[in-house]
Amino acid sequence: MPVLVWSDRDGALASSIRTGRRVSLSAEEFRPEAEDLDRALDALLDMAWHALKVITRHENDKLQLNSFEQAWTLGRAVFVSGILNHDALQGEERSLLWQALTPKAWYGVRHDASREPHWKALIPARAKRWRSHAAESTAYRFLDIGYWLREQQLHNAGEVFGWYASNAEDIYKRPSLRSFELRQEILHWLQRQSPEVRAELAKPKVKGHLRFSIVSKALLARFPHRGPGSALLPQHYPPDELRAIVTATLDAARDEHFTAGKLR
Amino acid sequence: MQFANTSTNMAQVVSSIIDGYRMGALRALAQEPVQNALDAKRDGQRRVAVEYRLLRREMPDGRGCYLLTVTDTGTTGLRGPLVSNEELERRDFKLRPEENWAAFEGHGYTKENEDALGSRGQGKAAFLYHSHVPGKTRRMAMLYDTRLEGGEYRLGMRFARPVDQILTPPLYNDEAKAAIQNDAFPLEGDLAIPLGLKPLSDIGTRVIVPFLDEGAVGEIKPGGELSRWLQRCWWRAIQLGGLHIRVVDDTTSQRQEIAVPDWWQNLPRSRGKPPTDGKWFDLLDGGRACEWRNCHFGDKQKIHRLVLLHSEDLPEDEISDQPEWSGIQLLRGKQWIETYGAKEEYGDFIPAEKRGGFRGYVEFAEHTERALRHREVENSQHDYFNRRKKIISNIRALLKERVRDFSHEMGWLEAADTTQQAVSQREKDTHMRFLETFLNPNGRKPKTGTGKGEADGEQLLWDLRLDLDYPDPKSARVDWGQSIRRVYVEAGCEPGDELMGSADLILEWVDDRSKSRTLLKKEAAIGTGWGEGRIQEQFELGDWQILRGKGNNKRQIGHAEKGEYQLRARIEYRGELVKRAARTVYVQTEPPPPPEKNPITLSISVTNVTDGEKKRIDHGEVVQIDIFSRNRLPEAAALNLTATADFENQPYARQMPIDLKGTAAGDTPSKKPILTIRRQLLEPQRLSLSKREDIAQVTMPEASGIFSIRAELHDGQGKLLANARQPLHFQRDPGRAKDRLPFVIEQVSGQKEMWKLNEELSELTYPGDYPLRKELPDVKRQGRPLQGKNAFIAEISANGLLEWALRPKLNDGDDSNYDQLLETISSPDDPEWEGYIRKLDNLGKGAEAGPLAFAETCRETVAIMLDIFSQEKD
Repeated sequence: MPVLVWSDRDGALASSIRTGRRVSLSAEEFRPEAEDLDRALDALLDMAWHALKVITRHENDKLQLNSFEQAWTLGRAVFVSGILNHDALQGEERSLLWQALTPKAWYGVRHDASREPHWKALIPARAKRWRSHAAESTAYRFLDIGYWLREQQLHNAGEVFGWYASNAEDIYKRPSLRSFELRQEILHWLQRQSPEVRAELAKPKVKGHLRFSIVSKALLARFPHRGPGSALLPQHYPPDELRAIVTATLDAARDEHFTAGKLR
Repeated sequence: MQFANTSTNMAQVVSSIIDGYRMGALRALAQEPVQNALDAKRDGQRRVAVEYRLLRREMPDGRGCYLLTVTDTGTTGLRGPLVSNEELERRDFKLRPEENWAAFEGHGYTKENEDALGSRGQGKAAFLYHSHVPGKTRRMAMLYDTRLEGGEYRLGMRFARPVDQILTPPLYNDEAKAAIQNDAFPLEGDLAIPLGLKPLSDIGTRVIVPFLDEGAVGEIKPGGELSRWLQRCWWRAIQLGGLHIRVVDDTTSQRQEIAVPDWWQNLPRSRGKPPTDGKWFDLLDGGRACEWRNCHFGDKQKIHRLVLLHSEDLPEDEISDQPEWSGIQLLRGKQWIETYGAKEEYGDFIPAEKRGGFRGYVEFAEHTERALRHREVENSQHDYFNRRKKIISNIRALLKERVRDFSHEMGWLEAADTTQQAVSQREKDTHMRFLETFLNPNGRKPKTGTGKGEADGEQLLWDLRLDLDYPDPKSARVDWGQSIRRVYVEAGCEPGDELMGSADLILEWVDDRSKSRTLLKKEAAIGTGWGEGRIQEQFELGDWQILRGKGNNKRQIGHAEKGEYQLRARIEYRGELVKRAARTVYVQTEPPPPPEKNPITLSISVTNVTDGEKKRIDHGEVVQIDIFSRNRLPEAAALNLTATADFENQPYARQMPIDLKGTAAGDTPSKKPILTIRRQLLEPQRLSLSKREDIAQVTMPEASGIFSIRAELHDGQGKLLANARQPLHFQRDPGRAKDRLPFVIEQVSGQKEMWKLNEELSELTYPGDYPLRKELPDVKRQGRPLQGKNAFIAEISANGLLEWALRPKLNDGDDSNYDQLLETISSPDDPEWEGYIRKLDNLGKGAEAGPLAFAETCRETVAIMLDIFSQEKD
């Protein structure tokens, strides 16, 4: 998968080619393919920026950026654009696309090296790791999460995770809990809770307060990633049975934390 | 006698000179022209300026081509007379310092009063390498014009066609200026170079590289790789004001002045003499830096300045696989020579997450620089210092000390519990060879159970079952005079149409010293009729009586002393063993009881049926998932199986009833296949392939990734008895050393144990300062496999491998890794390996004879493994 990765040192733009394919001399031999992909990414980022403008709250004509919305928007744009069908992206790991997409948006560089400063708003400012560890796939976790979140409509995903990217990460980092079916069931359960419970569970975990982690911890105990009890993941259950399990598991977790006076 | 000049292929000479640059041709292009310009600085000039300019021209036939010009000013220009070959010979091939023109046109000559560094044609090669003159053979050309102090103008040319040629005599003054402005400077035949350049207006030199390699054009543009190398090589000379470098793209008018990197630019200026223990600075971005001056080392040598810096905000920014910024740059004459890497050199002191933001540089006193410039210390490419030289080892020791102080002050040494360090390549090789010996012969030796048919054919999958009845169905004990009854062998192989010829079946009696006796051999017994989808043969081999004395009958096994034996069936196909099955017999001896913990186990194997040589499954390939179980209890068990894959929503089995026969106490429990699944895996968004009728297709959720197959066994009351998990690598290499190797080896500091296998069973770590290891000598030349520190690596690899196989087995009843270890044995026929197999069988029984006995068996197994490994040959 050849991708073109932009860099910007003190205003001086440079681009390099990265690929997971075997190269005979240098990844540069794939530059035409990578440049073609880079052009396609222009359209993707334009679409994402347009969507973000519509989605995000404005205050005094300024966007009030929310990293959950940023992640969902970019993930959805990747999906809707069909960029993953691009010839350059066949047969290789997706993280290389993230390596191309992130600096391109952050530095705001179109394929012809002209600048598009708005795109920067698509990358959560807190996601800094990619700048120091550009080649590590884990540095683009926000994009992995965004692409995963896009499976749900924005409003549904927002309700499940309280519009916090950190809550989404709390579930995403536990692979056995990643299925779409489970998120739909969490949503179903949350919609039946009292406003107080929902408000508390929407908040991200902070030291000493579990909040949303009440949900993730209880579900992980029921659907462990490895060891005893890990053979059946949420997606392997029939819908009714999964709903019953999720309801019972989360009811018990809620009762333990809230009726025991742990609601803070 | 007459001598003639031979036609040396200059293009090859240039290529091999450039191959000598550890960081590639662009670093050479960034380094050599600027260095030549600085060497030719004109008296009275404050600074030298060098401009790299990219131009596009059209050839007479309408095709486009690129030119690169490198122009220096503030220099003397290529002065001095032309020197003929005869004159050179007369002068012992020595040129005078001012004879720049002759030096530039010559090749491999040195100047008087100059050491030989840098006079071996590197400068010319750096230019020529990037020229690709159109034609069938690799040809290179460069032109050079110069304006001298007296107003003289010259134009010369070198053409590697590929024989080395220069324009003789060069063009002078008006003729030279006219040629340089010409749109078609004739090269040969119809081929001309579209120059169209303005003559130089300042004193200096310009080198023109025509027919620039189009692949390099992007890198030569402002902001490209060339600019980054220029910054790396020359930032210090630029910072001190003696040099100015500009990169210009004439096609877009884009230009870039090479600047000092921010972190060195923004460093506060120090005033006064820094204390000997360094002067610390807080940086604006929250980072910190420390500067030392006048550090003495070795024999009156001196570091003039050493600066170390760390900032969280600095990104890792390396072009090549050699350290460039992250580490300490060694400067000589304000020029970067090489970098001692934050990871490679200082991995002990700098935690992995801090290395990207670590920077440093060191400058030396003048007399030390002179010592460094010696040809035996600095290489002629100016990108490496010889570490065998004392001056360099002294510098490295001093720098290490300072980095340790820096790390201590930054709180890194205390914070790092375990810091990853570098494992030497020799140690990695030993680890890899060791694992390959026991787990993944990977083509070096035949792999049991997977003999192939045709070279390009599908993988042959063999199975073999050996059944028998003991006198007491609940015990493997057979007393003298009693018989092992109804010995039955079932052998299978598929796909049958891949089987070439037939295979032999052998029945053997093996004692506890691994000495075997053939009881029966049926040649060409399996696969006589080929062309079937699956070949299956059954053999009723009757009853076999055990006797203390000599047996007279062919169905008697005589001279069986008290003790443990094996009755073993083997399939040999095309001269190699492909499958074996064995049952244990205790003659006149009470066998040990079944294990209390995890008597029932599960095992999952994932096989690429399309290409059995690799573990990775690619788009369109067929994977076979086999789930097996063992029951070590004498009683039969009625169980329920649940099996899933995380890439399929439909479970393979959910509470599927399974009946497992019991295993007589002391017998080797047979691995019973309980579920087999075959799938053709497809990448999402790829065109689906034609479907094979017998195999379901699955579109994977991701284009690549590591997925899991999971299985669990419950008893009738829902109690979990065994849990197993195996990874499936879809379009992704397992990524550990080589394909099938299960874990990598890493050196860490701060670990107390001699070795440790992590929770994921993917990384074996050992402390670099482990006392035993420290005492062992480094291996300079690989001889015997067990030598010096390599012996330590082999020892911990053996222990790690056993833990890798046994931990899931003993904790969760997951036999997958254990089975893999048992079934990929290279030479089961070898008596040495027979002992190893026995030990593995014993370990498979768990700690039934007590933890001490188990530990002893582990030690004995490791000893056998080391013995086998020591006899391994490459």
